[in-house]
Amino acid sequence: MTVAFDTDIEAARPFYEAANATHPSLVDPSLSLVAMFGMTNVPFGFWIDEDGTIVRHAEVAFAGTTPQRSTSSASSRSRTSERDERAAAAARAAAAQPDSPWAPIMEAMGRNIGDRTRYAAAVRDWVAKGADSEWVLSPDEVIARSRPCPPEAALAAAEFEIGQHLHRTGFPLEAVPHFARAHELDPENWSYPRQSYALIDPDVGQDYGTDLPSEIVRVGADTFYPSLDM
Amino acid sequence: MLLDKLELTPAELHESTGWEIKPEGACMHEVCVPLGGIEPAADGTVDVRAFADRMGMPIAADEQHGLWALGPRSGGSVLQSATVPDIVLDDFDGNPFELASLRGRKVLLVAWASW
Repeated sequence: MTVAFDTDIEAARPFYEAANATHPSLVDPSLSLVAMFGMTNVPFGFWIDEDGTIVRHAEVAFAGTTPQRSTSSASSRSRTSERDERAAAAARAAAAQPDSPWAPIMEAMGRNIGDRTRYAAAVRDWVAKGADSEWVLSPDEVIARSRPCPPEAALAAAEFEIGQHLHRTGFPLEAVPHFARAHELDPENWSYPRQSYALIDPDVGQDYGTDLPSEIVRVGADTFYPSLDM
Repeated sequence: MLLDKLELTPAELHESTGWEIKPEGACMHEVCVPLGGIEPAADGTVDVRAFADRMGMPIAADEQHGLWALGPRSGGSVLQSATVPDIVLDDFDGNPFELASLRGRKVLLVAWASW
């Protein structure tokens, strides 16, 4: 199942409709799962077994090859997907150029994630072998590997919630200090600034005094997508 | 969770936070946290600041808008149990979906976003 971390679900809807998914596709406009499970970026995923026990903590969950990419037909949707895929590939190539502000982040991603098909391969192994999969963790291991929640991170979740409420209820400028405080308190949690920076409307005068790639490099490019421990 | 006041009746506290005040403390599912003397005042309300302090749940405030938000419990890991909590989220059509409805099947939950 998928969960969209979008304050404005209309921003996510075109992707949802293009994917034409058959699995439960849910929305979490308050980003409540970020603090609940430690989902500090997207894509992040975790595994739940048949009994409702988490058997793998939240971690970076790149799919490798997406269904869209592997579906080639003459349908208009597929042509759209191919066009989107070409655009995405061009964007990735541009980001990797040495003069791009994203270059050090792309480099860290390559170092930390490596082969992007590893996570999907581990999921397939779990589906085939169940509890015997080498990637399944005991309840104690799942808890131990889940993200620490110091008071600063808990307060960041509360600040982010106030920021979101103010943004939704027509106070976008007043939301900015709360969003900024959430990032300051929990700097390695990229779900918060990625969402709040995406809400910036220059016409309203929202300004964080920085931009996302600069912030990622300042905090540490390796924190954006931490190493996959598998 | 968002709050518009810091004095809540035990019923309001339960509804907004999921924590139920019982003789043994604040309880949610199998977990009970002793509250050590924090009791409803004469008017039947609980001081949320004292409750939050005891629970390790920080409070963010926007006094200008009369808004407070109670953060999650801090001090340990985000997961205090490997049992997945009851989660209900809407689908894109606004229909609530209970995660528990997928019991009996393996679930890979993947978060994504347009940003």
